Amino acid sequence: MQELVLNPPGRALEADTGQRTAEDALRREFELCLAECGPLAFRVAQGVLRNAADAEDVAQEALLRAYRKFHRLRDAKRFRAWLVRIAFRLALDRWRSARRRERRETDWAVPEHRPAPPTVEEIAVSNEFQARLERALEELPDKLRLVLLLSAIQGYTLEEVSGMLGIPMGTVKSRLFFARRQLAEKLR
Amino acid sequence: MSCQRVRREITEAFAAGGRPLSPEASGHVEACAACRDFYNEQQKLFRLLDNGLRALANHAVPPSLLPRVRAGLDQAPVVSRSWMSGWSLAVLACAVVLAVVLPQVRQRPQPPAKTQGTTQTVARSVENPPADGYSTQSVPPSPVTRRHSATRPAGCTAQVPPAALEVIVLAEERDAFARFVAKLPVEQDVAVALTRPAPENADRPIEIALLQIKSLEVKPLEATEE
Repeated sequence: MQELVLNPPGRALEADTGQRTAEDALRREFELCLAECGPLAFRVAQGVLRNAADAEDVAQEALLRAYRKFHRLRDAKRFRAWLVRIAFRLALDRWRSARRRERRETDWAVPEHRPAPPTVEEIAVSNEFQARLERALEELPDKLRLVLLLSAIQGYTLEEVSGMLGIPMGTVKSRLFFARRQLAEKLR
Repeated sequence: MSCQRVRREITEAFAAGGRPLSPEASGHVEACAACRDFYNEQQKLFRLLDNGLRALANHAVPPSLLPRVRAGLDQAPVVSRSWMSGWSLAVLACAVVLAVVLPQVRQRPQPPAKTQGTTQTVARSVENPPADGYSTQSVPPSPVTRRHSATRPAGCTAQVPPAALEVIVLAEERDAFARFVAKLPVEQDVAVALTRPAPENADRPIEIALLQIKSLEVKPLEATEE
């Protein structure tokens, strides 16, 4: 049996149209932010996960989350910082759960042995440097890692990183310093 | 300057983005072959590190990302811009809570006044009459009401009138009332009559019994003849 619903033609229709117009405006506004900051979300996720497919998933999730709560964002200028934080958190969560899974499967069974540390030349020649760098990066504290990643992304100055994270310029510099020093110590 | 200190300074200089060494450390590096090697090694290490970080952080963005997100936007539940954000809702809730709580806090109990004697209490009330022409005077409490006044805060007694603890008196009747209260300890009968609880049945509402019809006879209507 078919049910007939009668819609009053007056105010309900107007309200519906008004809401749709607001949604369209919101969507247009978000699309602008998306084109500008979408790649950044991917790069942040890629910096943590080092896997393009996973990073794409995370970036997509971060952008959709941002869209769902976009109406709450009062200052559109803060969108980039907000998105970076969402993407970084999501990427960290995914990375941690992957690492837990990996540990459960392999770590307990493999005996740990550490060979003598190779020299810088040896590492560079053997092309293992990138892998070692990525492992060293994983061991950095989150806040140091985020600053290091953002400052390494092309097109962003330290001032912009400072604005993005909402921390003073001096803090950005000191975090960068500690991050690089720790990395160098781990890679030596 | 020891080699260890110089090496630490070298590492820190590179970690800070190529800060120049102090003249002391520079002199040591020129003189000490081992530290010179360390300097060169650190230089290479940080160059590799920067290149590696750059490669890691500037990975090519897959072209499918933005179309995927746009497709996701169509399916994502759109929440329209609400006229009331979360913050304003929270502020409104706080305002409502304050509006409810503040009046109660204002009437919060001051330490309960000691009822030392009927005449003293009355005298104080009479000396400081309120501007509206009414004054509140205490009646000698019975042992039961005295316990009430000691434990119950004044704010509560103002809201819920206990058993005739406070009486509102017109300004022109204050003196007469004070005299009356002063005589109460002497006039035992009057005091007893005033403090005795009213009989329970006195204000019972009138009950109206239901109308009862004992017998009812139903007769068919008789046809009228034309």
